[in-house]
Amino acid sequence: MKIRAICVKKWGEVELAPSALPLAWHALYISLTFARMSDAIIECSGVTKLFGDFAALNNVSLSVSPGTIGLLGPNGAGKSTLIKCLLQLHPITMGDARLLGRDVGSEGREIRTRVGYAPEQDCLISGMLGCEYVTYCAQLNGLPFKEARQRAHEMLDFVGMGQERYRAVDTYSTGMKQRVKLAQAIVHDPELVFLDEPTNGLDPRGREQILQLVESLWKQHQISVILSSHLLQDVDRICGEIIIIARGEVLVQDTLKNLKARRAGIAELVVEGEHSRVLEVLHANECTAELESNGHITVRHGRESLTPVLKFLREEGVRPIEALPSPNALEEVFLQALSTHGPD
Amino acid sequence: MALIDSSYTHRDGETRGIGYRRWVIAQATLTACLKVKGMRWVVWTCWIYALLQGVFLFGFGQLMVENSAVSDFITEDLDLFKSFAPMFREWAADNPRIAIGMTYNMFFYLFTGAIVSSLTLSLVALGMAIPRLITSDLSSRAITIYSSKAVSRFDYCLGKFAGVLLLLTLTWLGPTLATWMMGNLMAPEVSFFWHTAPALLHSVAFVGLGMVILGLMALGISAMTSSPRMATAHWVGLLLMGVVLSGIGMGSKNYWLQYLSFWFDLELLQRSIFDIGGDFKELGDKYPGFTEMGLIKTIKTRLALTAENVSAALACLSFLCAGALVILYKKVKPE
Repeated sequence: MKIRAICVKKWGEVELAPSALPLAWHALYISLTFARMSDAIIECSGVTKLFGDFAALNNVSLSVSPGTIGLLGPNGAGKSTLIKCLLQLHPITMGDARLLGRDVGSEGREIRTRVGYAPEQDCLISGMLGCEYVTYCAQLNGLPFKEARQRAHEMLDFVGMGQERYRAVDTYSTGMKQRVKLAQAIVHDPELVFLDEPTNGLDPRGREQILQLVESLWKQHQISVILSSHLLQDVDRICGEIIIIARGEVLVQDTLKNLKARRAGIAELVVEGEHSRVLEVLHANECTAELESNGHITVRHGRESLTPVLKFLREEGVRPIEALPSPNALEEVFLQALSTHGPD
Repeated sequence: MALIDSSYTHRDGETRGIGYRRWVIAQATLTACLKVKGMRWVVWTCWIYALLQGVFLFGFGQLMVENSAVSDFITEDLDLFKSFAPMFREWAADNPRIAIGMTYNMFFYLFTGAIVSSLTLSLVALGMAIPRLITSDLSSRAITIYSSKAVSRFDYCLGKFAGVLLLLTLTWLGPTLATWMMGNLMAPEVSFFWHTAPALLHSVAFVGLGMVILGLMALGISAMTSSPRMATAHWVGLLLMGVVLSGIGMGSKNYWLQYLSFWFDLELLQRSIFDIGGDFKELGDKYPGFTEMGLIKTIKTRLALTAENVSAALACLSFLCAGALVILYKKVKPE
């Protein structure tokens, strides 16, 4: 069947449909598209940022592919400084950095037309209404007024802002501020968005909404996301790749899948009653198991997959309510990275 | 089910250039300034003041017309002018450069820069606007948002500067132009337009230069602090310092102190641009006895100017502007 690629707009946004184009053209089109997908969105080489004698970033070298990337680190690790250096909010003291294939030092303005940023702190313009603020931010990125206004309302809908958009930003709650910050970051349809602690100060429902939105940016709209957070569960929930940074140095950079695989031999079982029997069965099958204070059982089975464990449990007539492979894997990897390379 | 209705769409519209983005910042700055409590009253006062000036110029024009209401009022109700008015009309018809040109020049000299003028009102407007220029962006950290958009620090400062110029156009340049236009449109003859053209050019030159200087100073003061109250206090302090230094310097040996007052420097600059001394010289050449009369002689002496005076004033104003630029360079950056 002859097919063609249409609508190549963003990284990897390819829709396939029947057409009369030769197969060779299609193959070329697809290969070019995937070649683009493999391009790094961030490339850093020996990036150092000094504040006086203090090195906030120390010889950071990175190459990040498109996707949802979690930037993890303890407070003061250099996460925000790295983002600010990439956006040229802080000049880089030493080293080279490229964002979306352009040099950060010399093409800052061009880069920022293709990048969105939601900072951690409140940074709203006093006296403006929510919709005015987002419209203004769109105009600052070069959108004509009418389009800016229309997109501002679309983005405010997207982030779940209702009539509150007609209130002055000075009166907003933390949750509203986070939503407006996200709206202004994506209003100009960027290819890459930096979100610095976007769920700070949100209630569980608000946090869930924001995480869904952030997740959808890459999964549905092919906008790469760099999510800086110290909340491991947020990063675990939506990111495909993790960068752990501490004392201004990159300690770990890998996919979440690979990181979890490092902790594959650990699982958590939720069982109803029969705790002692389950522990007996597990010990009998060369597993180390212990009952946790919350009633869950942590099993160290040392296998690649949890399936054999579940199989012998089933054979012994034990049926766990829930089995979580590699629970808290990210947290453990994070703590291990910090203890191995990070702050004392 | 998703908690939110995800309705994100990609855009493929045009993206405007950097000039547009600077203009957007300028517009937003003006809007923010006009939202300041009382600012609209100041702007309205400037325009009402301009309207009154226009009425005065209309009256002046009517003096040149026989049997006009103003002329009749003066000649019939004020006995003193009964014989003087016809003589004045005749003289003005023979010497329009002096009667119309110089009168307009002196009038606009007073209107654009004297104590009770649109300059004073503009200084008040700037004092009210300063907390909303850069100070509020520093205190709310909005400067970070600007820096993360496709505008550089220079673009931001340029946009803010253009915003201040727009405000000063509303309070200073606009009323000046409107006054000149009203005066000429309501004048008895079209020839008023070219007789008064030098006065207009002088006004535009002085007001334009003044707007640039005051605009830079206002931005510099606004960038000095992130506290709105402190920003206003700095501006008021600068104005008061100018008045005090000018006063101290005027009556003492330390006359150079006057140059530390930007108000005094602006006045010297204005005197130089309007060339009031030249007008008096021309008048004296034509009517030797006239400029030696008591009051006229005092004014002539008071307005006398040397090239050194103007150079010193320009140097001091340049120093102030350079200081403002340094403050902008140092302070306008994300934390």
